[in-house]
Amino acid sequence: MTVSRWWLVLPLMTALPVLAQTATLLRDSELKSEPFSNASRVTAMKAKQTIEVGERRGGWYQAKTSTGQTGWVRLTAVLLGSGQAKGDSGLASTAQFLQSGRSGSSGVTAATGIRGLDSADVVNAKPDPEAVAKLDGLQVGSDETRRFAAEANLSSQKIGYQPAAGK
Amino acid sequence: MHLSLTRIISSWGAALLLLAAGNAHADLFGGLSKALQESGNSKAAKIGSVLNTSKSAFGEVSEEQERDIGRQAAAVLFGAAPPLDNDALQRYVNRVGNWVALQGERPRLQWRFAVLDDNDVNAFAAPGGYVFITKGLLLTMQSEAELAGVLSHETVHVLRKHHLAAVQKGARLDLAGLAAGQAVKNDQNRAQLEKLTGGFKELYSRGLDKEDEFEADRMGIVIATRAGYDPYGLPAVLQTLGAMNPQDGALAFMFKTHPAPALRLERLAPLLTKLEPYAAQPAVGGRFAEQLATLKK
Repeated sequence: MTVSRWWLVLPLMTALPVLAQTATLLRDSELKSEPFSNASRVTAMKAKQTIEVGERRGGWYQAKTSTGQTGWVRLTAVLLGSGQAKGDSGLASTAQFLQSGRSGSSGVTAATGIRGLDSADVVNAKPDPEAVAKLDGLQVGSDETRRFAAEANLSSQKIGYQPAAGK
Repeated sequence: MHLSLTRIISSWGAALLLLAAGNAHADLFGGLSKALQESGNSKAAKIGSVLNTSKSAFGEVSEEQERDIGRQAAAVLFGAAPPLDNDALQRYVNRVGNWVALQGERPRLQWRFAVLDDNDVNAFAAPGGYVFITKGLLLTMQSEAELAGVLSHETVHVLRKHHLAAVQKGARLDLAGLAAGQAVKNDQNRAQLEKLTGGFKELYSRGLDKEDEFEADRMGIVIATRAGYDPYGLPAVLQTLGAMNPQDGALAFMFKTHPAPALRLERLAPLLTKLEPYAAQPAVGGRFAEQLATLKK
């Protein structure tokens, strides 16, 4: 059916394959026909609405609404995930992000998953100056660095910093 | 006199001095150096000698001092998570890191980048040009632009001396504690060095100020874009992190010490619109995938 066929095209179009995934709109946004801000509007979408996103092109994700309309949505207008694949943690935590400004549980240890590097590991760390000294063996010269960049067609641009929003 | 006292109190070296001694005495730093040499730790002795030279430059931390302070901080991080034993990948991350560091205001620093052998998702910086990324964070990434975005963010912490300022601030808070009547240890000199290490342990476990993180995001995406990468590398990483289960233990420490990914994206949104003309710059997926393949073996 059309739904599955639409997603089948995606892996062929993308250099960085991203699986189709659910996303939640952070604010009222427009679905655009092309990944450009001056492209025509397909439809208006509401904050907290759930959509599906696929390929990223620049600052845009290819997107599909629950009513089947397709187009492009700004990367910064959505948050990937909806909670459907993760029990009840996803949507609740999206709301938590927006309200508290902090994500995840407030404690250091998590309820599930493997506990990794945390505050206690840092506090109890026995400093390892030898490992730091070894880093000097990884020194990269600026000629080598520039050659490395050129191999990937990376060229320097002159761009100024931007002030924080509202300042 | 009043002005110079203010300057002394605001300086890093003098803060340590006052911490241990309660009254300023010029010989103390020399004493620290001597005590450390006696302890047989030449690296630590070097720290002492650098602090010794700070007598003449109380106001600002010199680049050499910053480097040695950074070495102490880096040693703490390596004590918590060892470097990954994969020279090819370490060299690759250093090349990407050096390339983005060349786009910042301190291109001549001896930048060092290291992958930590840890499945947690996190990245760190230390004064003087040290940047760390965990294996766990690397494995969530899809392109070199994403790696460059994270490394650029970390280089900003060094460019803006966020950690130095935070540790200095912490030392002042400790000063107040000492004045309130804390016991002064017998081995004052050793205590000074422990203060430095302890200050970084405390800082890394607590994290930087949220505004420092926002600034690192804001300047970091400009630096990555200057380096010729797709500007959306860091935002894409933030999206990935935001989509991961926040109950995942591998995220807990990073989430505890950084603002939420959604808030960080929100703050970046207006700037990203301005970087739109560079959105077609390469993300460099192929080379990145080849390098990561060595990690997944």
